[in-house]
Amino acid sequence: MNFKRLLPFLIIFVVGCSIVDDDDTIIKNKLNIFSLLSPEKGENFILIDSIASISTTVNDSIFTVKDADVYINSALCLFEETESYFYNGLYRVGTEIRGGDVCSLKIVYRGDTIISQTRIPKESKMLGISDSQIIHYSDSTIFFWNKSNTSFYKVSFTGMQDSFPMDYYMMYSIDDTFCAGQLFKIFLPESVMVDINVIAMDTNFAKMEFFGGSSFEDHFGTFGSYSKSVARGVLLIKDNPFKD
Amino acid sequence: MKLRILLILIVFSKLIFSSSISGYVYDKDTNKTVPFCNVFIMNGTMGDIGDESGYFALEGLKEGKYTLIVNIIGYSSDTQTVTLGKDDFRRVDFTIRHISIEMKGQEITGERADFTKTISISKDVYKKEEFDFSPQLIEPDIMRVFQLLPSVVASSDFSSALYVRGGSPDQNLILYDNSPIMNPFHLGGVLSTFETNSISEAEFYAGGFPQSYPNRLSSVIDIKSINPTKDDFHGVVDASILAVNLFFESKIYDGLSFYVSGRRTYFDKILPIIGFTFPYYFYDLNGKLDYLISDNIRTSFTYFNGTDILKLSIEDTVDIVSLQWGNKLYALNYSQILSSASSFNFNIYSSSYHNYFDVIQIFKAHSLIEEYGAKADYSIESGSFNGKFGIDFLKDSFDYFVSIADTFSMFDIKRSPYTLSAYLDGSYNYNSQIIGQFGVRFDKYQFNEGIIMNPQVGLKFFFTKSLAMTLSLAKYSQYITSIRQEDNSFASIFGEMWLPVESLYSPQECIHAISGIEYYITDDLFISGEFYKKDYPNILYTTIAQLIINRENPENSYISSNARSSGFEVMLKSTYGKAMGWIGYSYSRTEFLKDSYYVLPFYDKTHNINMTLTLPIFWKTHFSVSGNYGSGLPYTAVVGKYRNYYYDSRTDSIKPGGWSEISSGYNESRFPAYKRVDISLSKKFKISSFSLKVNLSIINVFNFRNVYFYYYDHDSTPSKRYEFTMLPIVPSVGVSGEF
Repeated sequence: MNFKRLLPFLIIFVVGCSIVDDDDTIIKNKLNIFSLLSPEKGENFILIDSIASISTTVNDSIFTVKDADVYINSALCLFEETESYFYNGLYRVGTEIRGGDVCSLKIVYRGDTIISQTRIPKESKMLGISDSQIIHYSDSTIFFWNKSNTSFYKVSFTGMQDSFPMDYYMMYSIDDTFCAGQLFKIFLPESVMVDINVIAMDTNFAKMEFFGGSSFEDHFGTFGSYSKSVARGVLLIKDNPFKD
Repeated sequence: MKLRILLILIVFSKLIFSSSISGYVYDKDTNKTVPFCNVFIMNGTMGDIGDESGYFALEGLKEGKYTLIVNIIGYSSDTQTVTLGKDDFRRVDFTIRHISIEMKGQEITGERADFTKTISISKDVYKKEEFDFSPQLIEPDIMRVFQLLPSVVASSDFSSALYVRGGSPDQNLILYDNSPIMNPFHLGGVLSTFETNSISEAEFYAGGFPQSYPNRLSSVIDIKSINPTKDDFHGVVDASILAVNLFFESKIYDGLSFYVSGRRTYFDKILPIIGFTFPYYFYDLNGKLDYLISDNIRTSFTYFNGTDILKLSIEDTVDIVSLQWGNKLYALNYSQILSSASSFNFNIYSSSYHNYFDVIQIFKAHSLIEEYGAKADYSIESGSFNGKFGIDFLKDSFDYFVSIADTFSMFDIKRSPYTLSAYLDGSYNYNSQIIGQFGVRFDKYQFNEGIIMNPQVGLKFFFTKSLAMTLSLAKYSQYITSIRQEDNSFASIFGEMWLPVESLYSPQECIHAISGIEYYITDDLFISGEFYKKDYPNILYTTIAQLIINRENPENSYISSNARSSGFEVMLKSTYGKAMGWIGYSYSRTEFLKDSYYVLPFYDKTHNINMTLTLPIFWKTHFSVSGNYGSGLPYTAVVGKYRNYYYDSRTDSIKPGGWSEISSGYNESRFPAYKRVDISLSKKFKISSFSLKVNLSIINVFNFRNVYFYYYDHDSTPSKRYEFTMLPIVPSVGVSGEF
């Protein structure tokens, strides 16, 4: 067998292999922050956790951020031990949240200062619809709500099905403050009891809902706000055009 | 001006007032011509490489006695002695015997003649035998052989596409009998459409290619089909675990002959027997009708068809998904030897690539790309001067139509620009130490104002008869581009989706600067090193997303950028003898501008070591081995994760959702180094006029796990990363019968 020729090739091949590189990647430590302030809620809080490196072999505790200084409008928010939100540090907001106010968030964490702000939307109520009302509607029916100090709205018709709440119909709107019967009619049974929710979102919340974007440039997550109004127990009945 | 006149006078006086020898080289068994033979004068440096018709010519000889040697891989050598008088012209034909793999090793040296006579910057030539005995992925494939060159990067085991010195596959010109093939791949790039029985030779230019090659920036693969036998009949039947290939060639009457070759996969027929449905197959059908009108005039017609078909249907009645894509080529070539020093070639062709994708007759994505071309050139050759002048005309047609339910048109693109060109390539052997090369191409592209000029210069300087330095500087333009994918995760099964460069943009451009050293250590052992730098001042591409966004005005969907690549390559090649093969190393760096930053394309490979070797062992059996070890390819890594939260309006609460991935910068990470070794054993049995070749190949014999991409399970902490690996160890058997 003619190995004399083969040998120098193999030597060069093996030596050459030893200089081939293998790059690696390092991830910077960043925070994941999430908060949606709302005047209607009895409690408001800021969730803060670390992101996890894919290659890091650590346990769940790496996510928990306990030692951040968190301020809403210069008022310190206190860290609270909880198991409700997975790994997060939960910082309770002590300040009263009112529609129309501008709230500033400031987080100081290991020398890094993160700031953001939100303008709290004012409540948008359904016009002419009240709790427990019975409404016969058709394609031409239009539900209105009043304008908030924001452009972004989410409307949902929530009912109970098999003891679980579910959205029969949900829509987003930018600037428009109405919803036509022909849009939701096909999604609803002939008659159904629903809560009609109107949620006015600030820009940061809307950005997350519409585009999945973050409101932080150097970190992840959203600091936004909303106002919610509900018309509860509204019975919606489709008009039958062939009814006498 | 005086210098030019003097030069022309010198050239023509040499043609007129010197002696010459010309003729054809024939195969003794088949009586057909043998293309691209090396014919040279013993004990001298003068020689010639025959053309594809087997014709050679030695010009500028003084009177005297010469011994000519003809030599080509896979054939016995032959010599003839000729005595020339003053201003004499002699016709000398050689007849050589095909000895294929049974040869006991040869004393060189045709390529030495080429080495001393021409500037072959970044050029490699491969004969049929080198494809036949190299390790193969189920089927012999010339593209897989090219992937083992140091100048070439393969993006994965699943692709035969070539990334040449930082260039993407859409920058490679692939010619078959002087005519372009748009997307010569099957199975989403796993195999090329070229079956090797009908291939005589392939030239590969990794850069600095002559200006006679049009409309590409990066490289040229110039494949020549065989000239069919002038004897009675010859046939080959190949069978692999994937496909059956039939090849026949025969003469019709004196001077007129043909070959026809067909290949088809049979999984779709075999697997249903054992209960599996595999509704995909491909076929290749190509042939050539060759007519030697006289000793000096040859004409041929080439047909080429490679088609893939995938049909998912319900009980063979309703097609759920129907895909068909492939290439078709019709080419007519005419060549005439005007004198012992000049020839004329004419080529006209129609080449098309179609792609039909239908989903239950509702979603339709159809495309048809056609190129019609005509090319004529005049070649002149003397002892010192070689030149080629030509003109060509290309008419391209691009037709894309994507619709839903025949009512909504996602995009509808129709373009048909022309390109009219003139070119000149030449070289001049100033003395035994210096060879100069020059070229220029003028293009008039319909969608661009003015005439675009692409010049080229080259120089070869001999330090000794065995050691030379080469330099080359050239500019190229390309008037087509493609819909590009920006990562390597899922290669398009359809290959390149071509589009013309619109009038809003400048044509794509690339400047090649190459410097090299070539050295014959012995007559059959050659080492070369080349430094190269390529600047792309303007590259264009688009994406499917861009086309959809700009569907009303698709010309606005192009992304204009620039790129650069540089590196060096070393290659040690055993050209003849018992061991044939090479080992090559390349260092390269490729970057392109993306969103204001230079980033790596997914095919950038910093270090790449390739080797391939074929040698006879015992019992007339051939052993082949090839190996590749290279840097992992870049990819955009997932480096982190964070939990998504959302507001649930039904319960008026914040809830945890899924995970978001955090990516590294674009292609900032690399997969682990790529490792693969393939081996192959070939044994040929001969019984009377029938021969049988059995080939056993094992791909990835050490079963290296080469990562194609990663995917993750983020619900585990830490996340679990899984590898999707490329080919594991794959043995295959092929049988070839020849009669």
